[in-house]
Amino acid sequence: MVSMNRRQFLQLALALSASSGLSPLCSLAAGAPAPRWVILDWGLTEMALVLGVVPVGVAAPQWYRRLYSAPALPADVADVGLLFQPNFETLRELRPTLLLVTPGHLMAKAQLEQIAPLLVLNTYSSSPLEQAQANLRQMAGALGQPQRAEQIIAAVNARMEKARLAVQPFADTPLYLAHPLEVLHLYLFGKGSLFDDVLVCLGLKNASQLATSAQGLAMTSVDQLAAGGRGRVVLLPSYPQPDISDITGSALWRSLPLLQPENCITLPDGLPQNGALITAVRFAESLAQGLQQRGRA
Amino acid sequence: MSQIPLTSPAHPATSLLKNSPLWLCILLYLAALLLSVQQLSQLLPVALWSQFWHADSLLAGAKPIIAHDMWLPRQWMAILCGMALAFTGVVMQQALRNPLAEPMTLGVASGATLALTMVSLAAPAWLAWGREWFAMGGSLVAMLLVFVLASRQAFSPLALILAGMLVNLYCGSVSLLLSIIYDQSLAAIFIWGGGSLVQENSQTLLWLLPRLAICVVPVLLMLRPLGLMALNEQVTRSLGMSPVAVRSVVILSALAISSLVISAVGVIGFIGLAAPHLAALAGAHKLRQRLLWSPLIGGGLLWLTDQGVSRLTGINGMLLPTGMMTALAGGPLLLWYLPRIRSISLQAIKETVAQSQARILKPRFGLVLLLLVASIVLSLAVGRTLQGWHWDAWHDVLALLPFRLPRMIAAMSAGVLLAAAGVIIQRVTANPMASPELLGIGAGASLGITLMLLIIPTAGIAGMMLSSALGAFITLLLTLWTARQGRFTPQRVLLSGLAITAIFQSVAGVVMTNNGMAANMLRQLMTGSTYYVTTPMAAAALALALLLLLFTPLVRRYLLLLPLESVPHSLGLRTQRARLTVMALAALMTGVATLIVGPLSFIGLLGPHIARQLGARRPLAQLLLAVMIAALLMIFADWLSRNLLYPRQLPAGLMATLLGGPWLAVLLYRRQHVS
Repeated sequence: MVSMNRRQFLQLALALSASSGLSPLCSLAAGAPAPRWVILDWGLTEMALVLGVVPVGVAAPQWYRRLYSAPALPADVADVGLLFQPNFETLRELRPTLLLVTPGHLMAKAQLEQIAPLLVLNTYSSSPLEQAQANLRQMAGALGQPQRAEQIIAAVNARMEKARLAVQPFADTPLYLAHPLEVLHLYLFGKGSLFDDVLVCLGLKNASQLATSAQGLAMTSVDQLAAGGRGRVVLLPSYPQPDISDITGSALWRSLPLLQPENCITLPDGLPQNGALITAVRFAESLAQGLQQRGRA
Repeated sequence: MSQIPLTSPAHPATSLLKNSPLWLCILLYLAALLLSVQQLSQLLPVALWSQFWHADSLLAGAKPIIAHDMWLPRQWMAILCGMALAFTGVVMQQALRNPLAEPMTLGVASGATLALTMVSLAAPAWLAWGREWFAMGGSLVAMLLVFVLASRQAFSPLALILAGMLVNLYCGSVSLLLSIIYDQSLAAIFIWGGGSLVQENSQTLLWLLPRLAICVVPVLLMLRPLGLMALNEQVTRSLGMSPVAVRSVVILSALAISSLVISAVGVIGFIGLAAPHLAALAGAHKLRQRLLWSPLIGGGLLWLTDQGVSRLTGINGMLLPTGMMTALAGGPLLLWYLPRIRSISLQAIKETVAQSQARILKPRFGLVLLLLVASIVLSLAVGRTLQGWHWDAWHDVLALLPFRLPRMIAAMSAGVLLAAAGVIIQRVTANPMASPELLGIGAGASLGITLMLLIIPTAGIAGMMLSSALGAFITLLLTLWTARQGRFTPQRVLLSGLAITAIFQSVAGVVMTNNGMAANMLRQLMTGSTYYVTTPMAAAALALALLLLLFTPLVRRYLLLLPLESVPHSLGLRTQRARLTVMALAALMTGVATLIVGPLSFIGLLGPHIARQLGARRPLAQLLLAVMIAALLMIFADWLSRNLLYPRQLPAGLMATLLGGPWLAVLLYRRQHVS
């Protein structure tokens, strides 16, 4: 587990923001007591950190740290339990000023409302990227600083535009976005997933035609992928298997034309499928970098 | 007896033509072959088929490689695994003289799966030594456990199946706990556990084939004594073979075969059950015939199923592993088959008069009451916080009451209802292993909730209550309908409950594999979470519990008389109607309780058992004591589920299962030595 105290976190966050053109820690309204947020969703946690709010509690924070490589979550943030069943007593003990929840938590609305005011933000939507922006605006609004959201969105859009220009030569190359589970099975990201939205944003084509779940995912076996036509395969490894070299190096993958090493682009891990705005732009930049390194198909 | 005398043996000459399983085989293989030809033609142009065996010339494109490296081994694998599983089915059915025995129903498969899951979580490096050894170890432990549990009832078919069911339920609960703790890192394991026949290349096939061949040899050497086993133990013994030795050898071989198949492709359920029965229906009656035809039919069956499943993949982005689909088909098959069993020796297991009067204790109401009060205090006043354990002062307790009290009351009410239902069912069936969980009503209710969550994810509490009640009711109707031919013989009701539970478990498996938002919520609901209980819900649960409990004294006479088979008629009791009334009451109680604690808790079994141990013999005394004990256990389980893996909130029903399972095993084992 990443152990990091608050000071180290602040230094890191400052360094990150300087490099990315964002300034997440611009002073909150001076004099006002610091907001005590408890966040029951990791994508929302990501955006809260960018807004400069370190939540007092997050559901299953160890999973956030495993799945999201940035922005980092300080070690002193309390664990409030499972993602959809947070511990009511722990929540109460943290004396939050606001609970950030998703519609999936509303089955426990009666209990949660007794603890703190709720801000319900929809994280599953048919256009996750737009939804993330809308959520960021609502969160900034809850802080009383709506202009913060606009600044962040503008900075993200600028980075996105830069990535779009970089990938223009690849506009005709269809891309498969896959999260391999093992040699034989993988998730394909399709319509309704954050990464598909980013592809649209960048002017790229998603090659997958499979029907997807509500979250834009299709679980399938590797022959369904490999039998499809041409294109490049973008691999998104993640915990518990950040290193997928034994999958990509397997005899089967090496024998299938679509999955040849020179046709695959393996992105760094820590790009979660349920991430939000920052994950989206980090994905765009990693993808642009990967495509440029590979050259034209 | 494992032979199912459906028809009288036909003349040899006509049986070859008329009743031969050959026709069934031809049909199965022809259908599967046509489907696979169609599938292959999509992968590879027909013109190229002649070059199929020259792999080098095919290296040009993806589709030929898929056809050669993945598609072809998959077809062979389906046939081979189907054959192997059907073979284990025949062997187990013969050796145990039990028409329902197979790796799945005996809990062997879930034992192997759990062992492999735990090893791949705790020490993945060990798997390099060979998964089959861990699968074998797990299945051996499960099998031994099933035997110990069933030994008291002389390994009767029913006892073995029920014990297998218990082991299945328990392993399933442990898997659920692991999936709560390890969450998303289990996706790959779930796919394997679901039984997927997708092949990487022909290596697994070539690995499996010789090993299976070796394991089949001991069975073939013991063919003669095994055939006689169906007759009589004494006959076998007089031929100079110890039945125990024969049985051990062939069962070990069957276990080895199923472990090999599980470690190669995961759990593929019910082929071992379906194939031998299909063979028997088609006319294979003698052991040799069945050992020939069942594997052939099993191979065709699995091939055909896999052909079907491989076309289904891709609906809503869901993956449907073949094994789960066969299990899904197996449940209805069991239901269909149950009324047709005639030669199952369904002897009821009754306590002898001597035993029930061996220890006339005064029911220990005082002790239980004291513990009940203590558990209430514990549940309300002690808990973990961010700073560690904390004994709350009175004003703290008052502040935390809105979070603790509804959960405690709901857990208590569910315990009360399940225990009452348990007493009723055990009394009526005169079977100490009976419980509402095994009646399948809980599984039916959960099936209702599951479908509701999949179709309308935002249905909310009201929608779930409705779907749960509906599920329980439909299950009850189904149970009564399948049992009507048996004139509500208690054992038949239990067996159809078992089939419904099997259906539910495979649906749950499909949902789990496709781990989405619904799975996250489902996991809690299925395992019985008191988490979502609000104050009005808790009040309603308590009121319902008390109301239904008040009905019970009205049926006291039924509870006393129904177990005595010949007496009720002479006393003018309408047996059928009485059974129906009592069963409906039990189903209603289970339906309400399932909403709160899920389908899998053992409370309905444990409560009445412990009540007996503590000296309660007469129906109402047992009911009252059982209800108190169950309330106590559920309150404790709920408290533990809140605090054990703090801050995680585990489902209380799951905790009750995990606590109750081993206790139950010990209890049964000890009873066996007392009597």
